[in-house]
Amino acid sequence: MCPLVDPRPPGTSSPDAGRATPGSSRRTLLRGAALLPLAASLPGCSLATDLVNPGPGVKVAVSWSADELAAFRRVLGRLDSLPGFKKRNYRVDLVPLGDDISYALTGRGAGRLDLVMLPRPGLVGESLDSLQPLSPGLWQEEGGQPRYSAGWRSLLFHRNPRTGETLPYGLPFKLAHKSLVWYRTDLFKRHRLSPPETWQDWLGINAKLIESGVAPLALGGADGWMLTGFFENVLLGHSPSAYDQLSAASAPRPWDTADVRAAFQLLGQMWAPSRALAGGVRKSLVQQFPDAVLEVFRYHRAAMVVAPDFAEPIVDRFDLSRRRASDDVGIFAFPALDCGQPLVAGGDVMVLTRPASEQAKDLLARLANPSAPLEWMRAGGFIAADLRASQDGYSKEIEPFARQVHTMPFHFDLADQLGAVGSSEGLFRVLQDFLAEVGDGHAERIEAATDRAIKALLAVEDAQSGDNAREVERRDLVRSQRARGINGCDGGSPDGS
Amino acid sequence: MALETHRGLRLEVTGRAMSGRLVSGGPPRRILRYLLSLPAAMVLVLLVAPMVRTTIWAFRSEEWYGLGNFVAIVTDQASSRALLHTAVWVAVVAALVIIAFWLAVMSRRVERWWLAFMGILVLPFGASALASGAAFRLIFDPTPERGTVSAIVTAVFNQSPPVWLGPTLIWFVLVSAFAWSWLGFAVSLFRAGLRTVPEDVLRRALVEKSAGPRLWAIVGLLKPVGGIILLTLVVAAARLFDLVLIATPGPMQDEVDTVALHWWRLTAKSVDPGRPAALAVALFCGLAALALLLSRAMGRPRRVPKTPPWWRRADPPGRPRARRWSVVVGFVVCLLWAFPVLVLVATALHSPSDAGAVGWWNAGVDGLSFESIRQVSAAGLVSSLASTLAVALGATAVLVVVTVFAAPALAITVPSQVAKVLVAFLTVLSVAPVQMYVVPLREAFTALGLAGSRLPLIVVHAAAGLPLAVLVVRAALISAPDRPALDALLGQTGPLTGLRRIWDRAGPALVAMAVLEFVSVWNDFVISFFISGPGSSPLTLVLWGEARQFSASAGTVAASALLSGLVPVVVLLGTWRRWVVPGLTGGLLR
Repeated sequence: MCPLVDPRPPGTSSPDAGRATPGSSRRTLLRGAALLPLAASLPGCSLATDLVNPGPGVKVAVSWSADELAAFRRVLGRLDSLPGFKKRNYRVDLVPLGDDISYALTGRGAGRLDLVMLPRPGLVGESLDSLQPLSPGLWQEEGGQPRYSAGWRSLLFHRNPRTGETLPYGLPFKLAHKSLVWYRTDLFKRHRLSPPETWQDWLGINAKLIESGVAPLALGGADGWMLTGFFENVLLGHSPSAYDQLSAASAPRPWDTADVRAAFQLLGQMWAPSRALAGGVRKSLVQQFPDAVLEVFRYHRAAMVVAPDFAEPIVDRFDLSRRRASDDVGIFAFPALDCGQPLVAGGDVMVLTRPASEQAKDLLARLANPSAPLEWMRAGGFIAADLRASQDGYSKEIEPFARQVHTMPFHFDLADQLGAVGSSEGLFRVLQDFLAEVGDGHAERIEAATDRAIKALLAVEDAQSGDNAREVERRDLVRSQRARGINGCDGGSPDGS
Repeated sequence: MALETHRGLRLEVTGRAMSGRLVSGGPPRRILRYLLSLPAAMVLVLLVAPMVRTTIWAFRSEEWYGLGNFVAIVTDQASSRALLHTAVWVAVVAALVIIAFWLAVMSRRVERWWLAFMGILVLPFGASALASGAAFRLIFDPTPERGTVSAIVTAVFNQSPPVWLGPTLIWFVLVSAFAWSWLGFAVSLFRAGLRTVPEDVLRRALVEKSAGPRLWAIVGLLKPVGGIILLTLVVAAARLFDLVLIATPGPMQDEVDTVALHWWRLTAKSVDPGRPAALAVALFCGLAALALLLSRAMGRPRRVPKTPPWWRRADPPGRPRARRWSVVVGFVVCLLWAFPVLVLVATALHSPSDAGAVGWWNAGVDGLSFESIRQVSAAGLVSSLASTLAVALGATAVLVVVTVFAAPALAITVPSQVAKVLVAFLTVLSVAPVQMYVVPLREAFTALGLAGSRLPLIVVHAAAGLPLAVLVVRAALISAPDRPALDALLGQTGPLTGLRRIWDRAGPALVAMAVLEFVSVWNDFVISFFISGPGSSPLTLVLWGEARQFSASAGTVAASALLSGLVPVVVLLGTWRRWVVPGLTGGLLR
């Protein structure tokens, strides 16, 4: 017979341990009484106790899947042997949520997740009520040296709505370099092309490739973030100030500006020519991020794909030239536009849901250790957000770009800061519609498609904000636009403040 | 002078006018009956109380109570589109039922062949939505190197294939996956129903040239089983959730949004429970009305003759051409139905890097490989399947025990009005969608501190399966004109004879319900997702952990679908002909 013991293992103690309130003891008793016959009828005591109460654990929600998930699982597996930490005395349940990760913040009750690896830091500010503020000490080295780039600060420090203190609500974990273009070096060699430096160069290269029957680009439009990544780079290269304005403003944001229009039009130039996209528009829209990478490096139907550094494991796995001695994979930085080369970074931050358990806090501290993600860095597809992390783990081709996002001021991914407007209901869909309209040789529709896109974005903004708030803020925004002046390359500070 | 029969009836010849009050001949031990149905009542409270709560939420408006939430649903574009899509699914189901009927009639021409075909047709019924969604998404992959259909189109017509997972064709993919899962169930039940049709009617329908009117006569005779099939399929279509999530690429999900899915998006997004509750109530009302309508229209049940073993079955005489035609159709359907299984198995036996890049028919770089299977095992699939097994066994045990007490009690409820009301109540409960009760239940379990445990799952699963189980087992008990089982229940036989009679009548029904409960709990996604949260079942882990970037993880998705599908498919196929079909049709048709 297996006794229904207190599920807490001996090492852990919660604040109210040993001080059994009448309610809780009665509840325990009732629970025990209800479960006794069941526990006895089930085969095996351990299974029975596992069913009744699996013991203390931390539920970690992540958006990663497949290889990235496996890599994170290995990171979790090594947390016991980190320098300065003892063996854990709690379970870690990994809960992948994919693109539905934002539901992790709304989960209450049974499904509540303790630690969320959030790929969209813009959601932090919207969910302060359900998040646990962290100790500011985690943000800095003991000597006062910051652990993370300054660009993170405006995203993760928020005023506590209850106490009024400004505290960090998340810690950066993974950084992603989103201003990269992956290309096939053999193809470029064969056509005597070299990686473009400017937008005009790039358009020229595309035209040459189309002429010789090669589709220059593969797009993974089904993953909306691939399209927004493209858009963000164009907007940032064209007008950093407009980029900053959009990321700093609260809803409704100023989409109807000359700079945003120009960005859509530039994007149209790139997407519109017929045979510019492998498989045409319709295929581009159902293709996901790995599919687009495969179109270039496995099926050789396209020459380039705009994809972040974490395309590396996919390229490694599927590009057959990598298995042979000849390596046909090259990377160049997103070409410069009017205001220079854009540097867009994305990333995942760790947040704790409120109230956080001691175990969840411990897990966060372990994951924030600079040597925690070493396994993942070695496997490829991971740039540490922590500036103290060792640089030895990166592959040869990623290393310079990792150094770039660590040392240069970057702009954080715009869509990830916009909350709902930057997600599938907003910018994702708008860009998908834009692509569907102008693609496959419809350059003449760019103007009208731009109008429609901006109208759609404003409509989403409207739907997102309450009527009163909208009025007030619109007035504020008009005022601030006038004050700041929205054109020109200067005035854009890199961290969006 | 008095005479006593062996059953204790005392006959007396009186020499005077009879006096005194009449003694009622009703069933004895009324108290016992109430006691027997007590556990069932307790379990059903778990459904009814939260349903009441949801209904209150649905009707609560800002000031007091009203229809505000319902108006909001109808006027909201996304919600009304989800309602429309669910209506489209009902139409799809109707078409599917007609096809199943046609196949069942045709199958009677060559009985022996079709017995073999049925095994393959029924197999997908045991597979989860995860397996069917994954298989069909693999088959319809738009890249010709990977997708079977795209490869065929490219090779045969030498043109770029249509984009199968795009806005309109995605419907075709989903409907195919749904049909793959459910056609075998429908055909199988129709075939059992056809045995109740008098042989001469059937023969004439099959032999005569102008078969139309004859077929209509058969349709009329098959009303009860047809009603059950239609109802089961409509409920399945209304619950569509995980199939859409797995088979549809993210941005296309809006194009095929169903009520069940839209309800989840509303619940997760809004703080106010009113609108999702109104959506759930609307769905429930539609289903309940349909269920009551169908159960009234089903007409008088008929007796099913005992099935002869397959070697004794004679095919009805028919034109040889029609019989050949029947075999050909059966063979084609069989091949089509076996194909997704082949795709899943072959894909699972590719290494992850091959499965993501080449189709199942291509050996790829690594050839035969168990790496995909090894990876999903390493990712914890096996241990989470063990926990699923425990939940499924627990729920089935609770269901069986409670049904064994409750169904006889309901069978001997004498005032027929009371019995009718109870049956109608159970019918409505049996089609209640999860969305009606799951949110209040989750809150209650959290308040009780049972959040981390699997026990709530077991109880909720048992409660969800209970109404149908009680109905089916009760119907089996009261079936047959002489009601031998009922006599036994009323204590008019010796205990051993009684038990034997009860088992003869209701045994298959009970086993059938147990099997269906086990399989549905094993394959469940929705209840465990809503009650215990994401990550609690292996299927949710696969869906978000592996299938997010579907084609790149084809190998591991197929391997997970295969591993998680083994147990329910084996259980179902092992019991289908001997227990499940007789159990399901026995009570309903006799």
